Amino acid sequence: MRARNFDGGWPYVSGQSWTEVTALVVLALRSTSVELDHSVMDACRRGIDWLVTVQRDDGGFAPARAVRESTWVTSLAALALASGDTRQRAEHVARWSQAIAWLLTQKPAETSGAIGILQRLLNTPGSHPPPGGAAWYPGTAAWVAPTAMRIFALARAAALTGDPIAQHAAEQARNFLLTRRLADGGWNHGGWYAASEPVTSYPETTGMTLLALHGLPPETLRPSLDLAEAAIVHAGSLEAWAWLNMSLIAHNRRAAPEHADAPVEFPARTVRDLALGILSSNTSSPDNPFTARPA
Amino acid sequence: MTRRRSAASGTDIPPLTRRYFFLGALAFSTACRQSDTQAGRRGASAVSVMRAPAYGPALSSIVGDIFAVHRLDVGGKRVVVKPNLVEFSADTPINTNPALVKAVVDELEARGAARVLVAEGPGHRRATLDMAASAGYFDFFPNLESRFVDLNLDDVTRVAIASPQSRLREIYLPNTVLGCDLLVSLAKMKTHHWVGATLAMKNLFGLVPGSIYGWPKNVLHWAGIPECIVDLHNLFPSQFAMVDGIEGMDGNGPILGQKKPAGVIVAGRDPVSVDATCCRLMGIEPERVKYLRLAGGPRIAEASVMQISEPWRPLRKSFALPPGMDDLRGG
Repeated sequence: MRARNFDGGWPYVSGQSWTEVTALVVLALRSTSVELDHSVMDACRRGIDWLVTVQRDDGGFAPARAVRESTWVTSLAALALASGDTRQRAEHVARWSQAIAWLLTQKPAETSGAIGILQRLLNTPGSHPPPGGAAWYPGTAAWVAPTAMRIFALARAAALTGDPIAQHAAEQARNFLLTRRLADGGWNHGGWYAASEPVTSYPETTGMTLLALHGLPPETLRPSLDLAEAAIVHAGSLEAWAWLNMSLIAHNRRAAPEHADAPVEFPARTVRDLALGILSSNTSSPDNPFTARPA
Repeated sequence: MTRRRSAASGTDIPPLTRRYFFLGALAFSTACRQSDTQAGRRGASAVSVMRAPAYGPALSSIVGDIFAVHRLDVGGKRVVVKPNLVEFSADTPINTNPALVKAVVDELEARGAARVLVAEGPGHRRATLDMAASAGYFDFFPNLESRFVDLNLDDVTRVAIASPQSRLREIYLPNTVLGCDLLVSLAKMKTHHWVGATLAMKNLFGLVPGSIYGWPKNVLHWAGIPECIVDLHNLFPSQFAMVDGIEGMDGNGPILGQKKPAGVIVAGRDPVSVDATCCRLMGIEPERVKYLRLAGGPRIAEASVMQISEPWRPLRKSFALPPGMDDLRGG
């Protein structure tokens, strides 16, 4: 609350408000199980009002007011607009629908246009990415983290509306993530090889991907969950710890925070870290979109 | 409207709005290119190669010597030191060593810099300060947060690229680096599996904000990596380039390679000449590195570089090249 800007949004550390942070803070505050006092509820409402100001005419959201492009943060903004009770969601349902529509129309550069045709003609391993992946920025390739966020947003849309198109798109995106799994069972940013040498996974992307794949048969994810259990001991950052913790709880590999003695050893370096830490402490909340059961 | 007084001209100037900042950056970029042309006419850029066998106590005096030999005037200037932070690793030569960063920051402050910030925006991992902790930066800067800026999360301004080599026509850049008087690119001497070598110029990829372009900053890949290296270089005319070759990386760099002790620090005001000299030290023909060819043309020829301090030939170490890049060796 102290980090909030006068415009109603939140910065990463200080300075201008950012869509990613503002959306995560709204989700984190609404996921807390305690009764929200008036000032917190007002902060959430103002946060949503700020988010609305960065929605663009195409339905997507810009990362900040200074930016003139809709990007991957649209997924998080859509999740924030879809949070809260029925009355709160109804206020921005049209904007939320536009955001989901934007997400459904986006295709990464390697699967669209002439490059997509070339990739299909080449048909060599790794050159024929499946559909469903999401890019960080328009006109670029699909990567793991924006694809995971796209799944959360589309799964939420499918749960709220029963939209089969959103459901299908989320399934395609899950398939994309499975193709990006590394030999060690985890995920990095989304690259398999560096000059033909296999690379290793990152704890944070492994955690968020396991959450996005929640609902797949347990045997499909067993090696990845085994890796996540080992990785959380050496997570290296609050961000990594939070994603791993949420994924292990969601997959019943770890007790929920209220039943576990899980000390967090990592400092919160940013407001984003704080928000992820709060979400990681509220895994049973229906307003936590990362741990809510998939539709 | 409040107006500020320009110390240089004594004229009234309007407050720094976003539009003025944008136009200012454009003018700055144009001035840079003119300055580069003049440097090209002079035909030489001073590059120092200093022996530095280890990250020990002698580092301070070596860095002092480097600044002295280049007569670097930083009095009253706002300086940003930009190391290369890539991965969580204290044991591999993947990141700029914090001992060298500390020596550089101390020297800049001793020479009267008004403010010295350390700033970086890694390309793959988001927890920048945690990565700095893992690399040992907090051992040298116990209050690192007070002088560190995560460039992936900084406030940004849109800047036009006046004569782009890449497909980019504009780019968002962090205000911390756009507003500094001197950018010290404190890179690591490493091979690179896409562009041959990553040195002072490629180090500027870390200026591009992940908050907008993501992790990785894939927009630079699609716009052309060598070309983007040149475009970023051209946007920052006031640079001092230093390359940490005390322990470099060869083979499958910049992440999966092996430690390669080269025992040198290479430095100069012209990053193109510095990088060309580094390539020679690594056994790479600079003319075969596309971004150097694009940026420097004839300036990267050995005869165009004014070599000061140690001669480079006795210090040359042949770096193993990334797979499939043997053609960088030249004849």
